[in-house]
Amino acid sequence: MGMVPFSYKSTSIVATFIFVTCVKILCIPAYRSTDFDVHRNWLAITRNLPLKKWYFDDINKTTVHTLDYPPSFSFFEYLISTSPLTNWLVSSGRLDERCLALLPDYDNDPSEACVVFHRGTVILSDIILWIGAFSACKTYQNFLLTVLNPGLLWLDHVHFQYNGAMLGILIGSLGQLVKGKNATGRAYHYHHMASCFLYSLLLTMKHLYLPLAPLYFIYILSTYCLRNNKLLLFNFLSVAAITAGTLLLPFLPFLIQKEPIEQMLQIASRLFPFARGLVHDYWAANVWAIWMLADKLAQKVAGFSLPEISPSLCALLLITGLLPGLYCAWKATPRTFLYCVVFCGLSSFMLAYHVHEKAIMTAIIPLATFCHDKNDKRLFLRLNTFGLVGLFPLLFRPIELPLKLMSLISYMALTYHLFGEIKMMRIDWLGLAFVFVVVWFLEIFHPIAIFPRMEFLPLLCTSITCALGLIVCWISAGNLMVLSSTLQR
Amino acid sequence: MTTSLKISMFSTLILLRILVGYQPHSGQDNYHGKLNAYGGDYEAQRHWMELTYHLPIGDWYWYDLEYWGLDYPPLTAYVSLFCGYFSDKLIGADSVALYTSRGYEDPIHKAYMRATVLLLDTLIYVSVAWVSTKGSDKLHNRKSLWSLTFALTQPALVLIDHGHFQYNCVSLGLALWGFYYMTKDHFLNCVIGSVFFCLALNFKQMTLYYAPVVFAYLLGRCFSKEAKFFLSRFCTLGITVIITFGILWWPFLYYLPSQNQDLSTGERLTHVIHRIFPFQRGLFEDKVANLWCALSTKPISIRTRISESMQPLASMGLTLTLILPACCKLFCVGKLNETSPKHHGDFQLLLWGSASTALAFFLASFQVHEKSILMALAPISLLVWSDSCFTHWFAIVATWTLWPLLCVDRLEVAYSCMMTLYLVLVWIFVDNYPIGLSSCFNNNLMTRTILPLSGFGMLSLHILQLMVPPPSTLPDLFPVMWSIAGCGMFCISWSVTCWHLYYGMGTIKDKKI
Repeated sequence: MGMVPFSYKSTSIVATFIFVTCVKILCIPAYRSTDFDVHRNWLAITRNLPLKKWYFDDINKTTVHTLDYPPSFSFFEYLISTSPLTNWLVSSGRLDERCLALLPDYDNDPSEACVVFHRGTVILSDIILWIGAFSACKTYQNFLLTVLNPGLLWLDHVHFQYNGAMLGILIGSLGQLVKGKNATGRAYHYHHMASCFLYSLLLTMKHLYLPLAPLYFIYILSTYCLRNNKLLLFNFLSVAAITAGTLLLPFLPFLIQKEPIEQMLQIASRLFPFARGLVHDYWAANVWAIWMLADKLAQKVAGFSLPEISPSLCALLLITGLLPGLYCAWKATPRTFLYCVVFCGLSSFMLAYHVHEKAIMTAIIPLATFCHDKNDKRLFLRLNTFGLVGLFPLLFRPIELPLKLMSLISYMALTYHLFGEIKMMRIDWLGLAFVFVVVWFLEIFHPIAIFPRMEFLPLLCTSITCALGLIVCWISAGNLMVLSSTLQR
Repeated sequence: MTTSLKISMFSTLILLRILVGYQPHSGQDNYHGKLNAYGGDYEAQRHWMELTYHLPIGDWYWYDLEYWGLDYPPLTAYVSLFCGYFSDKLIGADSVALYTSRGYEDPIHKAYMRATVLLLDTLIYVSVAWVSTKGSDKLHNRKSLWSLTFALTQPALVLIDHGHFQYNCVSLGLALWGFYYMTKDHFLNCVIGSVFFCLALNFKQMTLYYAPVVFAYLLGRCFSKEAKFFLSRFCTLGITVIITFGILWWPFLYYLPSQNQDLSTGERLTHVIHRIFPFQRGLFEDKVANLWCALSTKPISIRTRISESMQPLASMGLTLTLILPACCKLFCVGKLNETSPKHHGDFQLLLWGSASTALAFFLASFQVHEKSILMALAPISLLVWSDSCFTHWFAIVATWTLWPLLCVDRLEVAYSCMMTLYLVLVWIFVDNYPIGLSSCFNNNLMTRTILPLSGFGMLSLHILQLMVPPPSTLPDLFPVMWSIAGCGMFCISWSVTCWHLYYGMGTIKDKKI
C-alpha cells in the first residue's frame, strides 16, 4: 500500500474520530474493573482532602485504592474533580455528590451518572492520544493502526484506565525527537526540548515508563548534546534544565509541606510497592511467568524450589535486558532509536518486577507509529496477536467475549489489509493455531466443561503461550534494532 | 477489495450490534413499573421460551394470556422453543423455569438472549444482504461493499433488534430471501422464494404488508409464459403455500389445549388467529406516525368523525388505494419476466414495490405499531445505488420516528451513537462519491428542499424537546409532533417509491460517477 502524507484525508480523520468515539460511548455499560473504583477514589481524595493528606489517607483503613501514581497524575485527577464543569454538574444535580465523595471499599457502588461522567473523562482524554499520533505518525496507515488498537479500547474504555492519554504523550515525545533530527535552527532545539519535556511529564504521571529513561538519556546525550565527541554545553544544559524542572515541579507542592521528607518517603513507598510480589495475580506473559511455572513444576516433580528473585536481582536483570537497547541507541538514527524504544519496552515487560499485562502497550503503540517495511509489519502482527490475547483474561466475563473477539478480528484484518499482502510463514500459522486453541480453551471449553476445577489452568496456558510468543517478538525486535543500527554505521 | 478488508468490515458491523446489545433492553429492571406484566418485549420473548419449552404444544396459545400471551405466528413459537432449550442447558433451568422465572434478569442470560438475536441476524439477515449486494463483476466490488455497509448499519434495525430486543431480522431476512429468489429467472426460483416468504409470514404477521405486492408479482409470473402454463404455475405456487402453512400449523389444529378438551378445530383455529390479529383493539393505540394518528389531532379529529364500525372499512379502503400502484406495476413486471428478453432489475423493483406497500399499510392500516416502519426500511436499505439520497434520508427519518419508543427504553445514548455513526458513514460515502448526495427522484426537490427542511425540522424538535418542557395542557405535545412530522415524511416517501416504480428504472451506476 502506498504511503499517503497526512494532509490528505483530513475528513477521514475527523470521521474516524467521531466513529470511534461513538463506539467508546457504547462501551459505557460494559464491565468495569476495580480500577474504576481506584480512579474514582482518587478523584474523591484530590477533591476533598488537603494536599498533604493525598498520599497518606486511606479513609481509616477502609480502602485499598490509595493514591499510587506520581504527583502529575494526582494533579490531573485534581483538575478533573474540581473543574468548573464538574462543579456545575454537581450543583445542577446531574452528577450526584456521592460520586466524588470519600467512600469505603465496601460501600462505593457508583451511580449511573457517575459511571457516565467518569467514562467520559477517559473518552475525552483520548484526544491526547490522537494529537500524539497525529504528530508522530508519518503515514495515514500508521495513524490508523495507532488510534484504532483494540487493546486501548479494552484497557481504557472497558477495564478503565487512562493509557490512551499516557501513550499519546509518549508517542508525542518520540515524534518530537524524530522531527528534531532533520530540523534546523530554532526548531531543532525546540523539538528536542519539547521531547524531553513531554517524557519528563509522562514520568511524573505514570512511572511505568521509567525503564525508557536511560534510553532517552543515551540517545539525547549522544545525538543532541555531543558533536564530534565534544559536549555542546547549551544543548546539554537546556535539556537538563527542562528535564530537571519538569521532574521537580510536580513534587514542589509536596516539598513545601510541613514534613517534606516524610511526604517523599510516603510517595516513594506508594509508587514502588515491592511487597506485591514478582508476578501479578494473572501472571503477565513475561519471563517470570515461565520462571514461576518452572518453579512449580520443579516443586511438584523434583521436590526442590528454584532460587527466589528479589527486587534487586530483578532490577539487575532488567538493566541487563535494557543494555542492548542502550548500546544501539548511542548515536543512533531516529529510526534505530524507535526500534530501541520497542525493544526496551519489551525488555521491561519481560523482566521488570510485578508487571501487569497492560504494559505490553508500551511496546505495541510506538511500533504502530512507525512500522514500515516487511519485517516491521511482521513483528507488529505477531506482537499484537500475542500481546492482545494476553489481555484477554482481564475482561473475564463471558459478556465481553464477543467484544474482544470481534474487535480483535476487525483490527487484525484491517492491519493485514493496510499492510498489503504479507506472506505468512509456517511459524506464524503454528503460532496462530496455538493462540486459537488457547483462546478456545480459556473462553469456551474451560468455563463450560471444567470450571470450577483447575481455576488457574486457563490463565496459566494463556500466560505461557503468550510469553513464548512475546519472547520470539522480543528477540525479533532486538534483531531488527541491531540490524538497523549496523546498517546506519 | 481484499478479503481482509471485508472481514474487518464484517467484524466491525457485528461489533456494533454487540455494543448496542450492552445497552438496556426493553423493560430492563421493570423500568416502566408495570405490575401485571413485568418488563417489555424482552420479558415477553423470554416468557415464550419458557412456555414453549415446558408446555405441550396444544397449550401454547392458551397459557396465561394476560401475562405476555403468545401473539405471533407458529414459527416464532418454534424458534422460541429452540432458544428456550439452549437457555435451559447453557444458562440454567432458572432462566426458563415455568412460572418462577418471570422477571428473571441476569447479565449472562441477557448476553445469551442478545446472542440468539445476533446469531439469527447473522445467519438470516446478514447473509441475504451479502448475497443481494454482491457485485456482478470485480469493477463494482467497492460499490457492493458500500451497499453492504449501509444495509447492515441501519440504525433503526440495529436499535430495535439489538437494543429494544426483537427478532425482526428473522422475518425481514426471510422475506428478503424470498424476494431474492422470486425475482430470479427460472420459475422454480419463484417456488423457493414463495417458501421463504411463507416462512417469513409465519414468523411475524406484519410480513403481510408485503403480501399484496408479492401476490401481484407472482401472479404476473404465472402469466408470463404462454397461457397454458398459467394454471400449472398457479397451482404449484398454491400447493407450495398450503404445504408450508400446513407443516407449520398442523400441531395447533391437531392437539387440544389441556384446559379445554372439547374445542373444535375451527374454534381453536379462530382463537389462534385472534391472538395473532387482535382486531378488537381499535384503529390505533399509541402515537404512531401514520395518517390516522396524525389526522386525529384537533381540529381534524378524524377518530371522532368516523364511526367505530366504519373505521375498519375506511382503513381498508384507504390501504387498498395506496397499495394499488405498486401491485399493478409489479404484476406487469412479473408478466414481462419471461416474455421480454431485455428485462432486468426485477429484484430492485420488487424492493421498491414492497417498500411502497409497507408504507401504505403503515400509513393507513389498523393497529399499526411504530416498529412496523422496519418493514419499509428493510427493502429500501438495499437500494443505496438506486437512489442514495432518498435511501439515506429515509433511514434517518425512520430512526428519528422511533425516538419516543427508544426514550421509553432508555436507549437515547444508543440512538445518538448509531445516528452519528450512520451520518459519518454517509459523510465518507458522499466524500468518495459526490453523486451520492443526489436523487433520481426530482433531484432539486429532494436535495434542496426536502432534505434540508426535514433535517432542520428533526433537529429542531430534538433541541426543543431537550430545552422546553411540554405545557401542562398538552403533555403529549412532543410525541404528537413526532407523529405528525413522521407521517408527512412517510407520505413523501410513499410518493417517491411510487415514482421509482413507474419512472425510475435508471440507477446511479448508469450515470457517470
